[in-house]
Amino acid sequence: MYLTLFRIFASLYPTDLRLEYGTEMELLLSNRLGEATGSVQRSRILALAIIDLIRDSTAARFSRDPRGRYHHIHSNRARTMIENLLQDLRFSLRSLSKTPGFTAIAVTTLALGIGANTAIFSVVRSVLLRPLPYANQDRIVSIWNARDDTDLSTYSKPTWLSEPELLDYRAAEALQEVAVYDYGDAIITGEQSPERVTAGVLEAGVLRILGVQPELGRWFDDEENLPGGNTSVILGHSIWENRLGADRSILGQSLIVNGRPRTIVGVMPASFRLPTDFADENKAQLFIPIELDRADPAGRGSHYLYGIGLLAEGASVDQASAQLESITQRLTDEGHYNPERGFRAFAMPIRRQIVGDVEPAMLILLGAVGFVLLIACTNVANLLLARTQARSREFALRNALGASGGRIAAQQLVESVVLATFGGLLGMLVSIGGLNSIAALNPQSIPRFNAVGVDGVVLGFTLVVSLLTGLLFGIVPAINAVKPDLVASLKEGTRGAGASRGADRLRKSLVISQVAFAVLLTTGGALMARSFWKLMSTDAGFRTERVMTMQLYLPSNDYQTGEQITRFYRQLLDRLRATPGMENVGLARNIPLNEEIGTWTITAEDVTPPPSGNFSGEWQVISAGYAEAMGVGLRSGRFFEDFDTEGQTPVAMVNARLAEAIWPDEEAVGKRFRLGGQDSERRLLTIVGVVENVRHNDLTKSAEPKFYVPFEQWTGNSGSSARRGMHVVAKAQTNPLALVGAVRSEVNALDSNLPLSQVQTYDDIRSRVMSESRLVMALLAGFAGLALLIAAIGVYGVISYSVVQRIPEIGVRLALGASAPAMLRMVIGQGLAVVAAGIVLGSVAAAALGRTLTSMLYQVEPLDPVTFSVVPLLLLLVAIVASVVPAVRAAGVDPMEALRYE
Amino acid sequence: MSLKPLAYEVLLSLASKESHGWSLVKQIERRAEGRYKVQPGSLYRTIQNLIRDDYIEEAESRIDPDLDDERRRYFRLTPNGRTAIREETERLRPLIEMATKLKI
Repeated sequence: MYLTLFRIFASLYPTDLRLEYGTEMELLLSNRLGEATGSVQRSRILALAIIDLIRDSTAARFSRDPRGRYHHIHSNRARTMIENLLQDLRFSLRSLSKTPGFTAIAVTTLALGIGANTAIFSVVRSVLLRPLPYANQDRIVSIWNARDDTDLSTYSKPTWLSEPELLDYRAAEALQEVAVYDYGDAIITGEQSPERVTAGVLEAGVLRILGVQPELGRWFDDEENLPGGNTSVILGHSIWENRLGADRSILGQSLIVNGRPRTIVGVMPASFRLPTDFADENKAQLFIPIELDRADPAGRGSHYLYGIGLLAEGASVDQASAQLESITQRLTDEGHYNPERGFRAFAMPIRRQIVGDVEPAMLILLGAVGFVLLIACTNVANLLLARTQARSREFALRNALGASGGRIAAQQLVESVVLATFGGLLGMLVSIGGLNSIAALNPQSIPRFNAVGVDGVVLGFTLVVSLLTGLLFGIVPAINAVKPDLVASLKEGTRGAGASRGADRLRKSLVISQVAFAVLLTTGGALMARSFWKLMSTDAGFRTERVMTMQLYLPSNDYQTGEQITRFYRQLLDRLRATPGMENVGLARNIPLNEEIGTWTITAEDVTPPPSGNFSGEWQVISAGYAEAMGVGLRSGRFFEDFDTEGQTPVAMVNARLAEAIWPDEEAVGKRFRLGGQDSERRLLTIVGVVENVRHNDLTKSAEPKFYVPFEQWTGNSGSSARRGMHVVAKAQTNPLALVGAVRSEVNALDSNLPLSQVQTYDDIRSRVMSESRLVMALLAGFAGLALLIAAIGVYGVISYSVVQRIPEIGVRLALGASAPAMLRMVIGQGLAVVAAGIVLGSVAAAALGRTLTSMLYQVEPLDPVTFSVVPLLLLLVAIVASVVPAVRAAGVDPMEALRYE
Repeated sequence: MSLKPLAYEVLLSLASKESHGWSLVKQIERRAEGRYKVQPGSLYRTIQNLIRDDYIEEAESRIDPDLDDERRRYFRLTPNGRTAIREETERLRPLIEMATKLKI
């Protein structure tokens, strides 16, 4: 990265020098970087080397060689132009170095603006713009089922595919191929300690559609998806590297997965991910073929497969969706689905699937950071304007001595571009720092965030932005510099206010727009901050303090019967309860905010089902102790106890939402329901407790109906096999992490081959859920702070400038009896007038743009009255503070002194 | 004709033995005792100019036993370069003597 930057600037040298010594220069720089400790030192070294490159390469290009010719310049006209440019450049450097205060403020302001833009651009580039690691990415779609509660405009709440649907959807002609995958647990055993990883369980077609060539070996064959054909495994890159030592001769060897030897047939490249794995730390690390029995598919209602498809040549996503919908319509007509549920399948572009959720956030950040740069530009333009006014005598003199207006304006523009270039250079360092801070926010839920970095494209972006910035803020002062009336300026003397009335208005309008942008950004930042605060303080229905969780999965060859599974978990619970420091401990099949929980149709005894079909609820399988460990509140009845085993009364707990949905005016405890629809023959479960609602799939949405079944009764109540995979949820008396070792050794004591996975505290889980919101909030708040600061500098600048100009006037007023406090009020009032205009404009703009934030706001209206009254007050306060210094100066004017100038 | 300071430094460093870029940097910076740093760009342009003026020439590339990496290009002084050092030193001598005498 450092070397890339260096290389880009080294291209400023004449080609011969670069070809001859370019590599050596880089070698030398890397030697030097190698000696440095820490990134601050390295950045410094790089900056010095680059400054030298710029300086020295200019010298190299334009120095005379011994034969008295300029390198590379032959025509006289070009020579004059280049000589003019060089002269302007030298002049600019000299004049900028004569006003170090101005230069420092301007360069810093620009560096902050450009640096922030570079940082956000590199995030947006990695997350949104970089191509997906798939061949034919434009033709790949993901396929989902929708129901009437699915919002197709946002693709929210879609559901997976079932095996029969997969076969049906293959009939869509717009889709050349359709394939499915699922996730599973894989325990790898062998000579090393056992390891649990997530496995992608795939149809061979998945790899064909994604079109990613394995790094070693081959894809799966279609035969491997048939029952009994499933004996191979393809390794993900990290497992191959970390566990198997990146052994290139590994093909054909066997790997024990879930107790069963599988032949390694391939290794995927490091960049490979399943489409649903981009924002997931717990991504699939090895791939095994899915077994689908075409002759005897699982039930149509069993939705668990992730579908992807490859569009046929020339077909569009809309065509595919239309065809899928007509297939589902036909199936509904044939009676497979309840017509009132609005069941239909659709396709969406794979890119939408992967980055669609974060796209609005990214675009909002990009817009916000653009505003920061605009504010920075207006600020520098204002500073430059003041400078040109102060120098109007100089310009007039040069004009009189024969410099054309064009040359003077050009020189001004060169000066702006020089400022912007320095700003850009410093901005690169700012962006590196910025990216480090963004990374420290750890936005785990943002897909492809780990690939964020600065590269050639990003640097090119910075370069272009810097130059454009220079032109943008330079053009107005440059034009202004040409304008002053020669005679007037020379006559006017040092105060040089010849063109000042118009320029004053210009300066004021720049400050007004600055304040308006600052209001806009601050409003956005404040809305996000309020929303984040609401999210933080949202009651999800459980307590996360001192709770830790981990996942266990019992492999089928060691635990063949449900009885073995139940016995293991029961023994484990007994041991864990006896662990010192443990307050409560329980098991659950799926824990809130960590993974999605699905719903199961239920039928209540003696209750007419709703017209839309059936009642349903999220199905949770837990042990005694889980609700206590999670701090879920009890409304009535009791929690599960150890005696709720198979052979006892079949029981269930429901949440308040489900109880209200089915028995709105009655006590639900004692009522009975069964799993499945009205023709279900499963046994009736008696409700023993009603618990508070727990938000499971989404922290921002109110809880769905949910029912709980004791894990020892699961098989009997549902007819499904016993749950092999369970999460341990442990509440500690003090420090939850201190329990990890104890839990690990208890698990080991029961079965030394069982790995623990997903060991995490509940605070971690919750913080991960909020990471996108936190990132946007933190960045917007940061930009708002930056905007406020720059705007404050702008207000200060314009007020103090006008105070200096009005010193004689103030002197006269004071001499005529005006009091010093009156002068104070006058100056502050003048500042407030400018700011008030900006606040009004900015608030209107914020109200108009607030809607773009709607999708990201939680329990905060885009026109939140608190925000819209606090932000203007804040800006007023800033304006007062920024006007106080010049105002005090005005009040302290000595009339005699002031009048002497008149 | 006077030499640029960096050119003079490079020639002096090559007077006793042939060296490659990094070792030149180290020698010059050791003499400067931290007062300034030699940047890669300026160094190699100076080297290019010195070769063009026939003050130094390229020796063969080889591996520096202390540096354990790629091959390095070594440079050595030409007779012309030796003369240039002598002349520059003669030019500077009276100036330095004068400055010393004035106790500046």
